[in-house]
Amino acid sequence: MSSTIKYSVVIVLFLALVFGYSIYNQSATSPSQLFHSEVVDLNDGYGYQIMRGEKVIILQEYIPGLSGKQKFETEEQALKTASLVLSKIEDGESPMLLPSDLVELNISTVVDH
Amino acid sequence: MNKRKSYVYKITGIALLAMVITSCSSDDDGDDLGNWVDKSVFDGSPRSSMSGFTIDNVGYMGVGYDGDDYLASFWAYDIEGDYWSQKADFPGAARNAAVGFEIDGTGYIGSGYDGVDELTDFYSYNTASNTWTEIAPLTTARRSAVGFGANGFGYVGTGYDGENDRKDFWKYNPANDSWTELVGFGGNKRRSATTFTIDGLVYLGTGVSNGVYLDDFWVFDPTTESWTKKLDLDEEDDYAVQRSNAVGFALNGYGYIATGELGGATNTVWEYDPVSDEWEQKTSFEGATRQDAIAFSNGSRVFIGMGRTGTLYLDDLDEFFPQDEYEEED
Repeated sequence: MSSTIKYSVVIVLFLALVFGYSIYNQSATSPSQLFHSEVVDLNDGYGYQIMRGEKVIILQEYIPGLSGKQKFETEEQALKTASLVLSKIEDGESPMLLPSDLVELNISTVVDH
Repeated sequence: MNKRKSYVYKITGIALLAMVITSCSSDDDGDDLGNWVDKSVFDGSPRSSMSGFTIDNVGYMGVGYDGDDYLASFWAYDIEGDYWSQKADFPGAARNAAVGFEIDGTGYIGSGYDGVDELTDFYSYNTASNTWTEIAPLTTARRSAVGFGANGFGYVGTGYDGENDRKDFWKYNPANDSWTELVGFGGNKRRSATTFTIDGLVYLGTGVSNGVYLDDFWVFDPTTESWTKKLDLDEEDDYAVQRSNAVGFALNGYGYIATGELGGATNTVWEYDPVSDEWEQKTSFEGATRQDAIAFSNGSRVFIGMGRTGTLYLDDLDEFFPQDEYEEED
């Protein structure tokens, strides 16, 4: 009888350990999978990058969709554009920025350099 | 008491055995060489029938169809840095089933389908300035054609013009911005065929016409502009290379035809050895079965992804290592 109990206790402990480890593992990896954005100072303008943890997944040195190498004129413009892209990713949508998005963000005025 | 004890042992034993069996199961289907590593970041950006080209270490791709809309956005994937940038929008009508190719460091995308009509218009993309320029249009509108750059010229042929499948080929000369017809392709008319280029020679095969998946296979020598027939894609009984809407690419002297459609989406991969003119099956694409995917390669690394299976549009991307053993967990 006592050996059966001992055996059961070992199994329960083992399962608890495995379960605990998987919980620990999950909470340890999920912050590193979080999406966030950073504005990049390019000296004569601004860009942004979308990060997943420490990893860059989108680097945008020029305004997405626009022809040529047009940088954001202000940090605020880069930041609000990055925030829109980020919200699209978080909503499970395509990270592509449409011309209508740029109009809504008042960024279309930068054209013609 | 003893009975109960042996019962506990038995249960534990069966559970352990089950764990061992499941953890070993991935080795059982490891007969074919080739490994796939997930590089997805585009969750939520599904699109099929994209077009693109690779220049230096950057894969450029854009346009396509996401199940609701024809798309004009255009992206660059930095192979070394493993990140994306959204580039200048494609200036023509949003479309899918266009062709894309590279000539001497300049990218080209044109033809295709905008949801209403097959198209003729063509554009070049300058990677240094991130700008598009419209070039001379194709003489005949088409979608699902093949296109490739070779020896300083662009070539576009086969496809579907809205009424018929086609077998004609056209040659683009960037020096005088003109298209001239290239005669001599001996294969049948077809749409949704595939090419890959090994050591300057362009191999063309697969595709479909009137419900028949074509089995002929050709090589084009750009220096003489001549086509030569190779062994059929069903030359050996165990070959299953025939399909349409596949992707083709070359890596380390071998050619590959992967994914596609054959009465439904498929994820099988075949490797072509140009020396022996023979095909060998590789590890199937790890993601969902798919057609109308895109592949891009810088010559030493290759990536395959996007596409669709039925009406489900896919958003993942995998790197393919054709000579590695298959690993499930990467």
